[in-house]
Amino acid sequence: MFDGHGQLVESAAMDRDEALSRFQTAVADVLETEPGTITLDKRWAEDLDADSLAIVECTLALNDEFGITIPDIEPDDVGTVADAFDIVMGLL
Amino acid sequence: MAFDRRVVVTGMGVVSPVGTGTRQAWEALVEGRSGIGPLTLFDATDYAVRIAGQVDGFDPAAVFGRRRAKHLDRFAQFGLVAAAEAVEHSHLDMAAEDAHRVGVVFASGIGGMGTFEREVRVLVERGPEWVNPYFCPMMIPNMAAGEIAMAIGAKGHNSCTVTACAASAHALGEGYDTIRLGRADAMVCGGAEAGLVPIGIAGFAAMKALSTRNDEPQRASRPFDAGRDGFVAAEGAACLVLEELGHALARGATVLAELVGFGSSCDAHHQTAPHPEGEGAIACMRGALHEAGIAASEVGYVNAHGTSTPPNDRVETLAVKAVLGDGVPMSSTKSMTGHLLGAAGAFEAFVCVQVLNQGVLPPTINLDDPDPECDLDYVPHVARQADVEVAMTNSFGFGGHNATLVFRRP
Repeated sequence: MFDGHGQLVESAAMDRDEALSRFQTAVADVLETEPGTITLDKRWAEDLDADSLAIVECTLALNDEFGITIPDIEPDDVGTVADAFDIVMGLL
Repeated sequence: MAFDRRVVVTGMGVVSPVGTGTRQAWEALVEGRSGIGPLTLFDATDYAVRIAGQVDGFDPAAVFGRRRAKHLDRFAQFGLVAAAEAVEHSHLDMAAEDAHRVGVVFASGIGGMGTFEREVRVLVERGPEWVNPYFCPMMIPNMAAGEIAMAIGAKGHNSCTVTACAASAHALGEGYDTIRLGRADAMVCGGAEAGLVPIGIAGFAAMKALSTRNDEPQRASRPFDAGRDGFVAAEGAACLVLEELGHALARGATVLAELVGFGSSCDAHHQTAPHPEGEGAIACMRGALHEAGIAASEVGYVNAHGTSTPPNDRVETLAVKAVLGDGVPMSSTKSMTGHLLGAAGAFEAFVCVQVLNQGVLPPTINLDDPDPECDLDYVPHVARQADVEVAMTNSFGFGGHNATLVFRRP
């Protein structure tokens, strides 16, 4: 990320690992599980037992955590945790 | 049309301020123990009413797991626990039943009021996009009925009666009718309420319907007493398994009682005040007795609606005297439990079934100075041994809804 003078501003860029950690904690809080279980390969429905309402609930928690607005998404478009994490990273 | 299918009770379960589980609750009632205490579910410091009948020590995460508990309003949690006890008690084996012949009618006067209040706060404070996606399913009053059906796999008739403080008496009535009509062989019926939240207490307090005897919580619910000053709001759930007699006998179930009559009427008079001469209540009791084919003289115990509000107790006394005369013992267990609102009718049906089986009438506690207009035998202060063949319970709700259930010893 650059400031108005073209200078790289390191402190404003969110580290991917830090973002993932915060993502995992927010989602784990919604799903009442441990953050370590929210790995990128997990499938929402099959592995995390998250139906469409649970996915919406996670979206709200992520909006809150990152100060973003995730657009309306179809559950089919976010089959895995990685799919959702990519959407979040794209908004940061 | 001949209604020759008989309906019996084969299981019961309760969650209440005097105990969770039928054994614990019944012991408390017989001992005359009050379940009323300071209202601690939220900070009630600024409220005119600071007492309630709470279900203390209830740990939903331990019962349902944290994630599932989070998506069930407290009223549905209570309903599921009461239904689980009742079904287990009945030994109804769903694996052996035709699931489409087993149904649920589970009432609530209000539904998920705590959820409603929480999400309205979110709406106002943060905006519409932050409202929880589980808000609607958690809040709707019929969700206990839906959850119980899911929990036990009951695929037959399923609904929810919402008639305020008569709601779960109507649920039992509807379950009874469903079996009599031949639409089901077993019905899991009852009601649940969890309205001890700020807006609920503030609302009832605004009506001046609640006792403000904040310094003496256990003496606050005093039905038929001259010093009564309103009801004490309470929470909980109660469930009865109703079953067609032949179906129960064929599977070797223990028959606890027969539900022989259901009366239902409306005062069509006022939003909240009873008809001054008890017209609706009288018609309701008479209807139930007529259906049961039972003479007024055969009724050996009445569990009163007995809320501890000045108008209810006076008019109910008038009405009972008009129908049953002045010799029948009638107690109000709300003196101990407070008013379970939409769960009250089913809880008090449980009391009637226990009376028939245990031969003990639970008392009306706190009846220190009877209102001169309340001159029946209310079984004051202490329980009494009595051999009862037929027991009746009355439930009256805002909206003028009346329901009476009559049970007979098997």
